[in-house]
Amino acid sequence: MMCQQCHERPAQYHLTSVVEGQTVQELHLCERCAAEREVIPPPDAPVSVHGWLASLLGGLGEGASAVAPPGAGAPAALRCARCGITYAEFARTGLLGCPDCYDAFAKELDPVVRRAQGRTRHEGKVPSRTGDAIRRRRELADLRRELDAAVGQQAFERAAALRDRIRALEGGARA
Amino acid sequence: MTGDPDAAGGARPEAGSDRLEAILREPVGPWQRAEGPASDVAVSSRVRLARNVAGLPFPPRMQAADATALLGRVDEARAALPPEDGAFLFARLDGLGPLDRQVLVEKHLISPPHAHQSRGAVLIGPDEQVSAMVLEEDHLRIQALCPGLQLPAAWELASRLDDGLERTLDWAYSASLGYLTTCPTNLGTGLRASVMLHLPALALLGRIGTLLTELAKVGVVARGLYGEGTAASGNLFQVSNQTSLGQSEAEICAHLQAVAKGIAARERSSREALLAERRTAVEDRVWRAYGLLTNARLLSSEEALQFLSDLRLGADLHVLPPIGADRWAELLVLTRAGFLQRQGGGEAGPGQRDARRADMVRTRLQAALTPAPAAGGAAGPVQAR
Repeated sequence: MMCQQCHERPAQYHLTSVVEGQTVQELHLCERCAAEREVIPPPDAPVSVHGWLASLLGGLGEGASAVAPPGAGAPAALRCARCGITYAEFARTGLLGCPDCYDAFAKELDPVVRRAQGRTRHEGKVPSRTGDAIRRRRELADLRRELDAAVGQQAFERAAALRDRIRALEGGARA
Repeated sequence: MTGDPDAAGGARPEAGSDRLEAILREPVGPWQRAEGPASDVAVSSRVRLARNVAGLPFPPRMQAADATALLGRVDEARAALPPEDGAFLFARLDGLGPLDRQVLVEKHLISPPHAHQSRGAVLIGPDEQVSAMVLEEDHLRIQALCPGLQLPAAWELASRLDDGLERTLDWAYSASLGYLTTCPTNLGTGLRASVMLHLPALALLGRIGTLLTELAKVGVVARGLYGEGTAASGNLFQVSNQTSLGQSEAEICAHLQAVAKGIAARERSSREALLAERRTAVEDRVWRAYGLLTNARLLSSEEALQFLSDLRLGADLHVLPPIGADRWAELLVLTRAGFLQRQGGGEAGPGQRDARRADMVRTRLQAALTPAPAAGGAAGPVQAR
């Protein structure tokens, strides 16, 4: 599709505007025309991951101050020892450099992840070949929660059974 | 996943290029030939999983040598997949011309940004149902496609390739954060489930805006035809989950499946309302689309999508004879610029493409909508009601 403004370059930006919750209007622009119309920042302007995360969360209606960078206090020069990326670079692009960045920027990323995802703990699939230990830990955590509940309900017989299963798992007797 | 004659031949390299040519020539994959549940509204369901190999930088920070080494490791992992999963084709993008790559985008086998990633590659499974982009934003983006609305089935297929590749590759994974991804928005499950929905009646009644606002409230986002940052053309909308962390894959898929089911119900009741309240206007719209598609000599890409949407609406409302979900899906891809040029024997300017598009649609539709002479009582498309 060609740009609807210059009719010269291919359209790379596709804008859909919703007017009064009814009309859907579309506009297709190339990069240059989109920048001219200030639809996108000029090519050399830094992209704010925080602004992008905030808009992703639909938080624009809550006032622009909600866009304040969660990791604002983070030293921009904070660097991942493994890949060399700085926190400032991540903040500009929204992309991390390597898996170790999640450890290197753990404190700074926590609020970012919380805002983007709403949650901070994985509850899904565990790799089948390398995940045995993780699976056992997760099962233990589940059993301990059940044990607390059973004790709270004074269901002592059930609690005893759960305790035995926890001991067995901790001892590594049964995976 | 059986029935692909190419798969039976194993992974011989010479068989690979024939198979790739067949993939590039056919507008829809074999998986699309089957009719899925709720196919009057849901065109297809897709699950994609973002995966990265432990110990390597993410693609944006990868040096050329690391990237080449990764391609080698992925190809090895492909060779070690369980034989019962069928033969997967491995194709490097630097071996494909721009039109070939565009066709892969139009068939939803790679994303628009991946098409520009020369050092990337693609893995394509039997029936083209399960595939993986190598070196897109993440090292691997596994995807599975199913016809109609069936996200749990798509999740199972994608997870199966994930298991198969994990026999050889160690994924970057953390017990608390799950699968580690280049962008934190994909963290956790690395899963993006999406359903392509055809919503002509909701669009005609001006109800899309309200729908999009409501979707945002339940953690579902709507995108255009080719994913993030692309336009919603031909009343086709891709709805997907917004977050990937803190819920299991099955929960994410079940939630989106329920939301899509709700949207489908609303689309159906809107179709009934349209017929009840504006029957003549709807019939007029459908027949105009039919008239243009079967007579026009120049057809732009946007027009084709719009009229094909009207045509499908007409078939679903029984204003026109049934067109068949797979035939319609075929026309959607056949009218795309890349496919049209590749089929037509090379690059062509917009004007030339519009002429080719009109010719192709006219021929195909006349064949599709003209009842066979022996069909007996079936109503012909040119008989007014």
